[in-house]
Amino acid sequence: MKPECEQALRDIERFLDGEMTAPQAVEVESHLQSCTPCMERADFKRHLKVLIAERCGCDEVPQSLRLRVSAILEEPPRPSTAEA
Amino acid sequence: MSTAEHAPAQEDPALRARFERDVMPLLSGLYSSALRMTRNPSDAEDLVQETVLRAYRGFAGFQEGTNLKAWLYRILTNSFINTYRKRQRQPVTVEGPDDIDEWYLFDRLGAQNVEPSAESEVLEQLPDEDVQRALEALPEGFRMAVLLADVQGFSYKEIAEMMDIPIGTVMSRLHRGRKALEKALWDTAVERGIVRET
Repeated sequence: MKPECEQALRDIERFLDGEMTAPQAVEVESHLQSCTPCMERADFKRHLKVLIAERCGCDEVPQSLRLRVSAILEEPPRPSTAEA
Repeated sequence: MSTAEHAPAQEDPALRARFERDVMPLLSGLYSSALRMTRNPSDAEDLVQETVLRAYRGFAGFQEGTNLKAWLYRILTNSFINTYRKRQRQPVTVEGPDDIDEWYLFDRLGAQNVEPSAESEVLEQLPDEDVQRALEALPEGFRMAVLLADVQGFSYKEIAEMMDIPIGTVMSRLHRGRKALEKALWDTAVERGIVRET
């Protein structure tokens, strides 16, 4: 692997997580734009993040839980000294 | 969490209305996250109920305009760690295989002769439940980091605050957790016959 590829991919997670400073991100982005193999690797990790988010964050809330939550909002007034 | 000068939400109709308006749309994400944390629908319901109750009682102390979602997930994470982890009698585990390559999944999928750039499409064939099981199988410290970053989109700093660990630890748990997840996804894809074992 070429040194510039190695450098771009080393912190690819921070790049995809949006945790880089703007100049760092620009540097990685410009390498990816000019290097197809690195772009494919970056895209793969990006898609993986999306896949995890889509599949693991879409469970339907059971009716029983909706009722329990509604009951909380119907709580009678409590003394203001109540602990949260 | 709450401040003395504000009445709790249940004594203040405007506060109650704001809670309903702002917090209720986040309920389904909270439930999904609770499911991934507890790995059990009944515990997940209890955990979300406790989270909403604590949030409701402390809502007067929440500063409007700051990050509500992060505030709620901090309560969720704390409740899980303090209550359910003890109930489940599981220690904080952050052990995991260290010998997985950074490109474990990419390289294996690439060796399947799929069309270039189609590596991730292979994974689309996995049923939701398989992806959920793969995440839930991660050791807790990894699972929480991946869940909060990749599913809920929190920043490293927010996750560090929620889990009460340094940012460097968040990054290392994410890195190792994602690698372990890639391996679990590969193993699942092999089991499902979606890919050939290499």
